[in-house]
Order: sequence, then C-alpha cells, then structure tokens
Amino acid sequence: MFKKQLFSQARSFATEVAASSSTSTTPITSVNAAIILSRTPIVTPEIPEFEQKYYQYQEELERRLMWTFPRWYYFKKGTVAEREFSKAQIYPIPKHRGVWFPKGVPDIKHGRDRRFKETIILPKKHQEEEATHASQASGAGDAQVSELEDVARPIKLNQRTTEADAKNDQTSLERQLSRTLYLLVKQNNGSWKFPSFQLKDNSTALHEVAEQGLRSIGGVNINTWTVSSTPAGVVKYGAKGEVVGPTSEGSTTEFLLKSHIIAGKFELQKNDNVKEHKWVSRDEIKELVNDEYFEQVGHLLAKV
Amino acid sequence: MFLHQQIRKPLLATFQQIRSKRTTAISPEVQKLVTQLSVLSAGRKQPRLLKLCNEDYVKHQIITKAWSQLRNQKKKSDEALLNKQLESMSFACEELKKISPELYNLANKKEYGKRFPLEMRVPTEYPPRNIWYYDYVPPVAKGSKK
Amino acid sequence: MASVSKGIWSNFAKRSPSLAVKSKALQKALLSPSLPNGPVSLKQRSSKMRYTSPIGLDEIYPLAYQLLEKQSESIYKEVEQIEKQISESKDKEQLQQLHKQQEELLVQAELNNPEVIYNANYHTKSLDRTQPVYRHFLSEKWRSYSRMLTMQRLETLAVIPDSLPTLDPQVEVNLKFPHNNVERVIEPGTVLSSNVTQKPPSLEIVEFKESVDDKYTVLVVDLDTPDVENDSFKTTLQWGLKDVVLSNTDPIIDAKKLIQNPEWEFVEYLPPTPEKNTGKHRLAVWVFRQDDKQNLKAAPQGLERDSFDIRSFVAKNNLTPIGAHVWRSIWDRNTENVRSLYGLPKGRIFSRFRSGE
Repeated sequence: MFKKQLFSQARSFATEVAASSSTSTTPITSVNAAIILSRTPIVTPEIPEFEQKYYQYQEELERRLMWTFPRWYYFKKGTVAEREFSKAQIYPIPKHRGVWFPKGVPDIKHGRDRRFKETIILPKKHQEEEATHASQASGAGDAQVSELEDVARPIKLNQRTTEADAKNDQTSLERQLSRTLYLLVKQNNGSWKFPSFQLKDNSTALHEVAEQGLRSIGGVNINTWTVSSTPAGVVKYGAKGEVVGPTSEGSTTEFLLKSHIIAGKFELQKNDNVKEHKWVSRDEIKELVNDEYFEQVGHLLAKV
Repeated sequence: MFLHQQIRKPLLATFQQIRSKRTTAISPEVQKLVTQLSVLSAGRKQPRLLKLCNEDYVKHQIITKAWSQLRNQKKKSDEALLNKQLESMSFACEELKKISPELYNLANKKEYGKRFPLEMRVPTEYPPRNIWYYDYVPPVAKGSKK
Repeated sequence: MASVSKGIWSNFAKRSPSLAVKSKALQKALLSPSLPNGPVSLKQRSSKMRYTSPIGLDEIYPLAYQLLEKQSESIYKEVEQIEKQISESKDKEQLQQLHKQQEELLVQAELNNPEVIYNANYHTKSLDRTQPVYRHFLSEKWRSYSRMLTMQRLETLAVIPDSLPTLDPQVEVNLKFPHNNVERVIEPGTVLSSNVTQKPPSLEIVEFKESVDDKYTVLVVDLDTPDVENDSFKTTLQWGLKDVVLSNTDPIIDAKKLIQNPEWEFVEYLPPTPEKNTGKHRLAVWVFRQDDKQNLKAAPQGLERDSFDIRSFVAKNNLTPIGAHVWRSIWDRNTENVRSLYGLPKGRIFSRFRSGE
C-alpha cells in the first residue's frame, strides 16, 4: 500500500516536472494528429517459393524417417474397420526366393518397406461419401442457410482471393486478405497521406483528436482500437507543406498514432478536406505517396 | 538364436506369439498392455537409416546453408525495423514534450482497464464466410442519452 | 539437364579452375537438380541402381544454389573494390589489412559453393592450397583434432617447457620416415624403433596463410641425453635446417630437396640412438618461420651438437616457434647397427648403480 502511494507520488512528480520544464513557443494549431489506421491480415501470409519447397523437402525427410503406423493399435483385429483399412492399403511386393530386385531387396516389417516412407490410404468408403455429398452440394448451387446447419456437410474451403481482388477495388476492406491494409486519404492538393487532423487546444489528447477526426471522415459506425496514446512517429512540414527532415524546424508538426479497425462500415462522409480514400498495403503506399513522406513513415508499416 | 531373442525382447516375443494365433494363454488385460507398449517401442517400426551419396549429402548441406542464411537475413532486418520503430517513438515523444508538455502528459497517462479487443481475429489459412462485419453500431455511452 | 548455375560459380575467367570438381560426371551431378547419371560417387553397380535421392531435393536445390550464388556475386564485387584500393594504396600497414580483408572475403565467397565443399570433403589430398577457401577448410579440420592432439602430447610429455616455454601453433607439421617405403604420417608421441628413424624424416609444413617462398628453420633435439658428470640430462641437437624455402604449393622437405640444397642443413642428421637403460628419449621437432623471408642472422657454423641450448639459440636468432612435433625412441636390438652405420662408438649400458660408487 505504502509502496503504491510512493509510486504514484513519484509519478505525479515526474509529470509535474515535465509540465513545468518548458514553455511552448509553437502555437498548438500548428500541431496535427494523424492516424495510421490498419486492417490486420485476415488470412496467413503467402509463403515464398523457396520456403514452400524447403518445407516440402523437410516433410518428405520426416516421413521417410517416421516409425511405421501401428495399425493394430487403432484397428482391433477382426473388426470391420480393420478389414476395410487393410483392404484400402497398397502393400509393397515382398521379397521372394529366386526373384531379382534391381532396386534392392525389400525390407518389409508390418506391411511397410522400411527403406521408404509409408503412405497410409484412408478407406475409400468415406471418400465416396464425401464425393456424393459434394456433387449434391454443387448441384444445389450456393450454400443455403439450411445446408449450413447440416453438421455432416463436406468441408468446402473459401477462396483466399476475393471479388475485390479481381476488381482491384481499393476502397474495399476485403482486398488482399493476407496483407495489412492502411487507410490513405487524398488531400486537396492531390497528394495521398494518412488522415490527419488539426488540434484546437491543449485539453484534448492526440489520440482522441485522431479518433474523433476519423469518425468525422468515415462515419461513426466503425470500431477501432488505438494501440497506444503515445505517438509512434512524427513528420514535420515546411511552410509550403513540403516534408522536411526530422531534425529541422518545421512550421507544422504531425504526430502519427497507430490504430486498428476491427469492424464496421467505413463510409466517406461529405467533407471539405477529403474527397477520396483507399485501403492499400505497404507496397502500394510506397507508390502512392511522395518519397520524402514515405521515408518518414515507411518503418511504421508492416511488411506483411 | 531364438532363445537369445526371447531373452532380449520377452515382451515383444509374447506379443508376436499372440498375433500368430498359436496360443491363447494370455489375459485380455495383458494383451491390451502389450499392444499399448508396442506403440511406444521402436522395435520393428523404425525405418532403415537414411544414407545419402556424397553428391546428395553436399546438396543437402547447401540447402541447409541457404535456409539458415535466409533466416538470418530475415531476423536481422526484423530487428533493425523494430529498433527504428522504437527510436521513432522516443523521438516523437521528445518532440511532443518540447511542443506541449500538457499534451505529453495526456499521451503518457496510464489507461486503466484498457484491454486488447476480443473481436480481433487471428489470421487463418482460409477466410471466414463473412470476411468483414459491416453492421457494427457503437454502443451508446453510459452517461449520454440518445 | 540444364545446369543450376547461372552466375559466378560457373564462370572461370577470374576464378581458379581448382575451385571446380575435376571429374565431369561428378560436376554434372552436383550442378543438376537431380542425379542425371545416377550417384557417380557410389562405386558398385548394384548400389548405384539401388540408390534413390530424397524426395523434393531436386526442387529445392536449384533455388538454394542460386540464392547462395547471388550472395557470392555480391561478395566478389566487394573483393573488386578492395583490389582497387590495394592497387592505389602504398601504406604498408593498410596494405596488410586490405590483403587480410580480401582473403576473408574470398573465403566467404566460395564457402558455400557445392563444388568447393565436395572437394574439401572428399578430395582432401589434392586440394589447391593457394586458394584461401581450401586453406580455410584445412585449417578448420586441423583445429578440430590434430592441433589439439599435438599440444596435448607436447604438454604431457613435457616437451613444453623442457625445450621451449610455450607454443602457439600456426602450422601443421606432418612427419614421415622413409623406412621400408612405408608412407605413414607419425602421430605425435609415438615410440619409434631405431630402424625406422635411421634415415632423416621428410617433413610437411602446412601453412594456413598465404605463403610464397617463406624461409623456415627446423630443429630436432633429443631432450633426454644422460649427463653423468652433472647427474642430470642434457639436450642434443640431432638435426638442424635453416633457410628452408617453402610455399603453399610446395610444403615438403624431403631427401631429394636436401640433396639439391645442401646449404639448408647446418647440422647433419644423426639418428636417435638411445643407450641401454636410459628409458624413452623424447625427440622434439621445432619449426620456426624466419622474419621477412630473410636468412638466419646468427647463422650457426659448426654448431656443437652436444649440450645444445635451444633457448639461447632461439633467442639469439630472434625466432618464434610456429609448429612442433614429437616422437620417442628407446634402445632396441637394432640400435648398435645404426651406431655402426653412422660410425658412432658403442653405446654405454647404464645400470641401477653407478660403477664409481
């Protein structure tokens, strides 16, 4: 208890010091709060070719070095299941006296040639059933609600690419499911950047300004989660609105805050400053925004 | 030879006897135990040793080296990116402190009860049927009346 | 089948041809995704037919090869820049550093080349030691076993510090005796019969740095000659070589070279002939590299073989040991024959009690 008090005292002391240490010379209206609003990936990232083939090679090695499947443990002897299972298997040719095996004499134990990997084949019956189910399903057209309630329906995988991908609809949140998408808006001068909002006074925190501003351009029906109220980066602009380096004195300072959109419909509201918006990945941002701007913000964006 | 095998692997020997229909003088409990133990034991289930010829061994080495180099590069670039992000964060905070200490204090205020949103999904191999939930309506704040 | 190599590793305009595998069939096997003519390294026809490559190897291998080859290409570009700096620079210290950098980069550039790895793993005896990468592989192999073994033998047999205070091995010393045409490398510390050691050994001094016409001094000393007057032991110089010129390509000192260069031998070889009941004698071989390829300053002439003070010799000539070897000799039935062959007097026979007492 006492410790906690001490801690809180120390904390308030620290903040007080910070508050009284410097007096600002920059007017608060020259400060902007920008929001990097991201849609996190919905599906797992695409695996590069090298990694894919490496995993395949490793898996083959692992299968080659696996122990034989103990079928007698899973299928009790004399049962129907056992008979079906063993009927489905393809057995290697056993060694025989007087027969020449050019590829080497088979070394069979428990129905597996120990020189190679073992391939287990599931009994055909289940597969056939699945096939008939699938044909029925495809005949009936798209999945109906009543069909979705059927627990025994065959598993049908959804596509990793969507309609929005095909149309390259950059205003859609359903594009590029494996990448992180960021919200970019078009300024009046025609350049693209993250949405940013001017501060009015000292009393509202940066993240609140950014969140309110976001709702003013995208409507209130969105669910966002701001990662932290502390800024993740800063961009400085010169007198003409051009991006200047972080060490130089800019006339406008823009603080960047990170946030995620979780749900909701982002609808562009009628606004004086913003006429267009896009949901784009890091690579697309690099092409859209100007190079000086990307140099300042590029490291804040996820590579996948 | 047969005797020797029996001494070395008494369990497996009995198990083999059972499987060969010759005797039935073993209780079901023991039989169950024998089957269970046979799953854990390597006997007769282990594959042959993987022997690579010299060329393939060198090729395997090359693959492993390429893989480790790739991992190394990825790790290094990731670390560099994280360092850059951390630097940028602290730089931004310093700037904010210079411009407006009040805003700095507000930004560093502890957010009590802040939790990671449960609605957020983990990426999966294939997308869900409804990719995005559009019908979100914000809950009415506790104090306000609408 | 097409070769997986598309870049620097199949280009021998600037690279040494010794970086490739000599056999065409093997090269084809290493540069193809799969094995087009079966496993070439397997000798038996039946095992060749029986062999199967792991599944998936042929798909991933070209990608891995090209990835590493691309890295090597970028390293070779760095090497070119360093070469340019070397041609411009005149400062001696800087030059030395640049050469060191260049060598390290050349090792890195070829370290992952499958042909180089194949040679280093399976053609150990015919490696081109002028190539930094092969020297690197040889050095790794030496460090993993022979270097440690030599140091262990030197220390347990107390050659260190009985002859010289310490040693930081930089070269591998391989010792062979031309006895009975048996070409066997002697393991440090072995007890050899007088028959084996009756003719001078041939030495191989394997350098792991670049070495062209470096000069070496070699001393072979017997540390256990009895010194009855002082009731102690003294050191005898059995063999002394100086200004021996060796290179990476030619690291062997043998009888033929000694006949061609008689000035190398400043003390002729005297085989170890331990007297009866004096126990096992340690015979230490010490190898020194002479500074800046210069001749030995205090060139010894008519050096006293008996009561040789190796420490003062080393200090006087400002030598640093870079490698060593040791073998042991004991009196056997052939020792007297060796003595008579070299015109030595009959050996004394020591007993438990002194004759004077």
